[in-house]
Amino acid sequence: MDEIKITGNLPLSDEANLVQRAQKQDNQAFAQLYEAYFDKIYRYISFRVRNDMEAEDMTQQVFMKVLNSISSYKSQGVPFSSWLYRIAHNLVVDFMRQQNKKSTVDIEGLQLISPAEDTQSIIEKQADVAAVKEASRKLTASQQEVLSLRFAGELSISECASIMDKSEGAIKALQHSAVQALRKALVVNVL
Amino acid sequence: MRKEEKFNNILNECLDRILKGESVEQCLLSYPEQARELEPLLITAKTARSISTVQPRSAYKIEAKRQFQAALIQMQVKQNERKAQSSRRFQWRWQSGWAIALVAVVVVVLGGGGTVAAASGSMPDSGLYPIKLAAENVQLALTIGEVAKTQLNATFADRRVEEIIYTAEKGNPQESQAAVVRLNTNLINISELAAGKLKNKSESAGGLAPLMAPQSSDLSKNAAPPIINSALAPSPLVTPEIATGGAPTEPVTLASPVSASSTAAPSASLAAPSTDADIAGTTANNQATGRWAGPNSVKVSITKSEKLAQIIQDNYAKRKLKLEQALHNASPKARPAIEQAIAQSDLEYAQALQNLAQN
Repeated sequence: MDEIKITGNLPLSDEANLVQRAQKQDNQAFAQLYEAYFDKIYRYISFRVRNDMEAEDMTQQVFMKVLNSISSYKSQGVPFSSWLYRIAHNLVVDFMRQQNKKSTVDIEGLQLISPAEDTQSIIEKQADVAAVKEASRKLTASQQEVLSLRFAGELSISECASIMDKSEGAIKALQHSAVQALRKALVVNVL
Repeated sequence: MRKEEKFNNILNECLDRILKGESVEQCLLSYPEQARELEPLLITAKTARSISTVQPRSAYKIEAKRQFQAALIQMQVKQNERKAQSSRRFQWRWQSGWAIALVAVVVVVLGGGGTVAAASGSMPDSGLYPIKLAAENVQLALTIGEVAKTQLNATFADRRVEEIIYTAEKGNPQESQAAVVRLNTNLINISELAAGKLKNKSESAGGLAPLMAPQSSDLSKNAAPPIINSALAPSPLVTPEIATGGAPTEPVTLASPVSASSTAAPSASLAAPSTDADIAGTTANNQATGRWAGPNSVKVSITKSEKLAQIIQDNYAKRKLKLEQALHNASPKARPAIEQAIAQSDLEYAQALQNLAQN
């Protein structure tokens, strides 16, 4: 597969074009979509399931599902990213159901970007990630979902609304309550 | 707009800015009236943003990408196969029925025949090409032994490579795709032979094998010592079932009714080297009859594995070199088919070696 460097979200028009090409079995288009979303989907899942091995398996499953069902995707106003996260979301929900909400925290395999960063900065970030993951366990499933979509997936409010099947106003309110709850949980954990 | 709703909008805008890398202070400056309420939330958001720095392990990423690529190729191969099958349904029927029977008669009775010989060098855009494919099927059906079948599939894979390059350069992507699919069939055959899966399978000869060789039950009384050196004898036609299993009481080799003419045939692969099949038959028979197979009996299977590995490796190296050279010189329109052939070749090569190691 060609190495294609893509940073940030794809512009919607480019994304729509890539999806159309991928639906016609264009390898290059598949490669670009894969590169654009792989890390984000991994982060989203990793935040929700908190087990790196499971997150890796599930990320893989998401892209295999995309491969097998991209022909069935029809835009109809729903961006591809929403469809993609919906697949990931469904897998997470199934996993949670199976695990009976007994997910564990696994930060051993956690990797942070920017290898050039100094050790102190990496340790701080890793501590932050671990703290956020731990604190988020005290949030409701919807609050966790909105935080993971916004902060791990870096999605917009409208994309979150589409994935969570809620209005943008409802997502903004949920986001507010989620950040508030996270703050409380972080403070409690520090104390 | 309600106060709460207004605040949610401001918070959302600030979160967007923080996600883009702005500082908490910059956001607070924009909304001094809400700063007090906003500040703790934005500091929390800044901390939460750390989760966007999490990255999957690099080893996992590489492996995941490899698997995705493999799945992508597999899916495309299947789709191309389906397309090729449906668009060539008529041709295929003709080929699998009349053509195979015709080619079999021409090859066997006339010792090769000019048509078949001429077809062997034909390309997919030639009218003789179906004859070429049918002749290959006949050759595979008449070839006995995993080593010989592997060698033959390797030879056919080389032909497919030539065809991919030819059709790609001719600017015929459909034919190139079809040739890639055919290449994959040969490579999968090799992988399956390495896994020992095809040793009892008489390839798609359209019922030719039962016509040419009696069933195993009919052979059990035709006792004759196995002929190890096929180069010194007429090509024996041994049903694979007998060569590899079934444990007949005596070693069985049937002097084929076509063997005399097959030695005269110009097609070397028709007179299939049956050494490994015969050796396998000897070993199986000796085990069945309780006779000591001699000190070489263990070495035989090692030699066979080594032979298979050698063929697989040599063929892969040759194919890779040829395809990479072709890719280097290829026009942009020819590149996708050649790239796909390389990827497929790499994939099936790894699979064949893995199968061989596990077999």
